[in-house]
Amino acid sequence: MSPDLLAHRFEHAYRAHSAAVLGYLVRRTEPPEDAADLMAEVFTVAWRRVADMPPGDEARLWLYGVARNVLSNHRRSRIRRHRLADRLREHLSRSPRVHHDDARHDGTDHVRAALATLPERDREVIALTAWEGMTAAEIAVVLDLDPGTVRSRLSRARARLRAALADQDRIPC
Amino acid sequence: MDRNDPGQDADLRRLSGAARVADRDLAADPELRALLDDLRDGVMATARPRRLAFRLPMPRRLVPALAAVLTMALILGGGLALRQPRTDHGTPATSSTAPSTAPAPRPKPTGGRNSFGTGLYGASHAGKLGPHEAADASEWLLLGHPETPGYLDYIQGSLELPPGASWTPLRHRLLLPGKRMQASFLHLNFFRYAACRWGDTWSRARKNGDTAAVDRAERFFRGHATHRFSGPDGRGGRFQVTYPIIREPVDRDRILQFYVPNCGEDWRLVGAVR
Repeated sequence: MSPDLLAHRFEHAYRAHSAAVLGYLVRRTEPPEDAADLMAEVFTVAWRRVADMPPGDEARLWLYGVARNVLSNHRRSRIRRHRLADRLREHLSRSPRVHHDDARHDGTDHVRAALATLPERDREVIALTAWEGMTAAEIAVVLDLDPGTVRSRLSRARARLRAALADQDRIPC
Repeated sequence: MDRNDPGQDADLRRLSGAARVADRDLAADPELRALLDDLRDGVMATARPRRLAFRLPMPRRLVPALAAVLTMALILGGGLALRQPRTDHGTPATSSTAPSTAPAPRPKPTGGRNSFGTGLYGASHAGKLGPHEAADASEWLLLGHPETPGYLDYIQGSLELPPGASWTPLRHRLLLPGKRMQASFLHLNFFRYAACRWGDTWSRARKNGDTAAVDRAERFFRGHATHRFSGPDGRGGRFQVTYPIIREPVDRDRILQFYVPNCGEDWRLVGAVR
């Protein structure tokens, strides 16, 4: 594939999915401005591996897969600062839209709190369905799992979330 | 949540709705859009795409099953090979320090037996032979063979050196007519040499306050903290070994722990030369 074609493919995927990938990262990082460095890393990896990027809408799921790996590496080690992300980090740090405090205002803080008590793999499938609006089949691609496994994991995760929410109700104020 | 599931919980619907609003706000922010465009331009200017990686025409989850089938085939094939004269040395060696997010380098395309191979393999129990010598079960290769430079080109083709650095000093050190080195250590020497050159860049950039160069070098170390080698074991199977280069998680101290004792004037080839 020619370099021009690779650049075109990357630019197209970036234009179509960069905001969604940023939303994915912002929702999973604390403080949210750390998502700027992860964003730079995700798209640096994606650009290096653009020859592997599938065409069409599959590129979106492929990018989420890259983002998931980058996020996982980030959780295992300290964050690496990207100079490329300086301005984006600064913008996110003063943007009220991305701060998790918003949960207090949109009435989802108790759901987030219950979600945080779930095991990582339960939280992941719930988050991909609720936050990213993915179907079980799409999650299966991102997590590299069988769709049946995702469906059963999702069912179990929902039951656990319901139980965690019920526990919250039992805690006296 | 599953769009086809009629029993969605109200709490999850609220969570989903809040995320949609946040995503819409992000996408509608013109300043953010401009910053994302800048980021894209920066990424495309500072990195470059790798060559097309080999991709399996199947989901990754099927790989273990395929591996089991192939292993069985190799075992059965190995039994047959014992009764037949050997005509090749199996698939060529590959090595990688790539993390899960990066593709492994392609195997060297060969038409069969490598002419610079000796057909002699180290013992599977081999280990440290002396202060600076080690051995493993990989094949001994002839360093002075006319086709060896082509193989070295292939190994170094999978690695990037920092701007201004050259492979020439390493290639000179490997000009040892009549001598042999094991394939795994030949690969490892290239990876260690590249790590030292990135270490030079990292050290210089830190002194000069060049954060972009520091970032670039640290990115190399994170992507090459471990060296994985895979090659024929001489018995019809594959020999695989992993050598740590820098302890993870990579940080300033761990880069120094590698760089100070292994690079500079003390730099030497690893593995045995016979």
